[in-house]
Amino acid sequence: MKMTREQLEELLSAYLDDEVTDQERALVERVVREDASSRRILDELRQTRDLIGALPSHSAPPDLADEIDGLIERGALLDQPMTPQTAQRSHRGPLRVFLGIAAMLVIMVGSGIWFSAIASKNHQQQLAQNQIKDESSPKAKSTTNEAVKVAGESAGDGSAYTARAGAPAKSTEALRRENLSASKDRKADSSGLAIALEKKLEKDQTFAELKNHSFAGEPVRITLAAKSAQHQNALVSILNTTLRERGVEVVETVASNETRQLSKAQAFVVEGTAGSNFEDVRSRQLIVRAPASALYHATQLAAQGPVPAPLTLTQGTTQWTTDEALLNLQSGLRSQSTVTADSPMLAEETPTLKTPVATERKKETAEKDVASIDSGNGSSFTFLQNVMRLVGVDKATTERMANEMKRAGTAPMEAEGAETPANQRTPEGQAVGESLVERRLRELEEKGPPSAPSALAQTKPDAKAASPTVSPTGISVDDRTVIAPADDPLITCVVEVVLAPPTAEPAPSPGDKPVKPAGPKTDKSPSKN
Amino acid sequence: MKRPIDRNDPTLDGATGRYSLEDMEWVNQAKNGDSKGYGNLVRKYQDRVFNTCWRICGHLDDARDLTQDAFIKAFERLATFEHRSSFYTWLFRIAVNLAISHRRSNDRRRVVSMDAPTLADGSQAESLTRLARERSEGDPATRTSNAELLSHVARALQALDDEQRAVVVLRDIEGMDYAAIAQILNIAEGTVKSRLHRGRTAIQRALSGLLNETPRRSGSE
Repeated sequence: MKMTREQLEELLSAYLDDEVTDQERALVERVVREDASSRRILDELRQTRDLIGALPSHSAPPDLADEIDGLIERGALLDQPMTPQTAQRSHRGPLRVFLGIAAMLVIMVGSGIWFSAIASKNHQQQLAQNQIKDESSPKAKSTTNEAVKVAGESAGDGSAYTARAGAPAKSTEALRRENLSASKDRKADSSGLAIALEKKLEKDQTFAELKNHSFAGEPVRITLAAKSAQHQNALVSILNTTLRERGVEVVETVASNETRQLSKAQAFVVEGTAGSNFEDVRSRQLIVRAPASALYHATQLAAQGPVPAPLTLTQGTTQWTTDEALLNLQSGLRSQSTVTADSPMLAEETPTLKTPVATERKKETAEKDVASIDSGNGSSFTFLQNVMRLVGVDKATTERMANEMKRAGTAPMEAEGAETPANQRTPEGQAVGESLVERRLRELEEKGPPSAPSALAQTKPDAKAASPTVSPTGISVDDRTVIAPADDPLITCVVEVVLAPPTAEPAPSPGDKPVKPAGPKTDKSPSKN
Repeated sequence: MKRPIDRNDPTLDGATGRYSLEDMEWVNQAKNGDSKGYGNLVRKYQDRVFNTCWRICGHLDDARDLTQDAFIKAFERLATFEHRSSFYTWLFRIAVNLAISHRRSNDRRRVVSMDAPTLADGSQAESLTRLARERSEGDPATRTSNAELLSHVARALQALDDEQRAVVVLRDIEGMDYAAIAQILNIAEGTVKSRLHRGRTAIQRALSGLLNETPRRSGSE
């Protein structure tokens, strides 16, 4: 199927922005090489883009920040909505200076009241959630009370956070309803667009903030739920070695077809399309970022079985609720069944892991995929490259590292279908199964019991005693409560998930035509002019 | 020109509005009663928000008000902000939507604003010409040519429809990637791609005949 001229030009435009897949890039480069008119269009687009980018920028007026400060302070003092009309009048008003001085004189009292209200509201929300949980889950009552109590104690200095799971789904809904209700009055004087925006934000906030976050220099936890034992091992070896060479602390590397650990406080999709070896399979690499203890605890829960409810992480007055769809996906992966996800990041298709087609495809192309690390193509290399990019390694270096590893034979290649241990060992022989969290908690355990909730991991003694399962950290996973040390770092987890294509969408047509559809990222089927 | 955000470049962190622990800390400070935290956020992002509003609405006066409104609205809703998106993205969603909404409701003003300066800084076209002249190199004839060409570019940008202009501004001026733009405008990445292409093509057509003389720029690739 050929592309229309407009579709080709769109692709050229995206190519300029480096917003194409490897497949699309190869296609564009071939077209440009063979077609002079396409080459000319590309040049013109580049020229136009550069001209737009050359437009000068303009800094904000020097007094704008002070003006905003003043408006906020005054709004807090007078307890009045800071509408755009108010704002516009105020910055030109004759009383501005006087009001600013007056506001400054009493700001300590006023802002204290205002912000206390926010804190109080958050605390009330937390209590409301706790109440609902208590009503519906007697077993978790004591645990939840403990968590809320500790969170309340620690809210003032932020010295600790709690992570707990098992809250019924309606807790999240109740919290959302409460938020909507509380903001109803504020919405009344907003524009329709702002209301829509706020609803949108409340409804389906995704987790894209991490996409703009530099992970360089941070500890990384890598989970490979890869396509075969062969390239799992190859990737683990490469990642462990090269990341450590770059001074990146790999706190844990898990590579197993069976242990698909996935939980999140925050996550985003790194790559949307698999490499050329898997034309009918799409892979998504999720970056999960959470406090180390919380993430470890969540994965422990997940390892025990499907997590039936969202996981709530609380740090001071900040609270995240895990994405239900991802937890459902986790359950689906474990049971190898089809899961329907409502999450925006997964809404495009129904993820299906190990469908007969996908499994067969993996077997057929596993060796080819591993070999593709050499050539810098394929999903394995894409995954490797994405992980490297997160920690500041460019593509050329990644390619070189992969090639060197392969030539040196340091990437172990197991027979297809061989069992892969859940926890790999690093080249240094360190048990990577012992994560940063485990290490820290073990050290803390050796020092003796904690003296304060903010000091280290704790569990409720009774619950722990009754718990049949205790994780290697000493945390009772049945208790589902963990209080982590304040200096517990946020860690990063890279997870690759293989997704089958939507059944309604025909597979990309094979062939080597000069121009063909852009593959899975194409938004709509191309049509001829 | 400004390049797209390079995630591997640590020097761009924060300054370009990428997700930052610093932001999270300041947001939490503001939520906990420390107004300095929000002040830090205002000072960090005010230039980018202002510039974006200016490019979308086309007038400095309006850009000032819109920037102010965006920060105040964000502050009013800060209690509901749960770090599920970056503060920067969240703020830009508010600001861009305000700017587009404002532009739509003041369509007549939009036409006037290009040629009728109301601030000491002057209109966008005038300011642009002045800045371009200051920044350009070479002989006076080249400087004049550059300034005029950029002035044409600015006018062509303002002539785009709102949706296309927003995408072009966020991408080619602010250097955001497609995913971030999609999130801010609440549209699919495919839509970002097509709007961006149509916008660039429209500007290209508007500049036809002038594009043989590309302005000399410093600091571009």
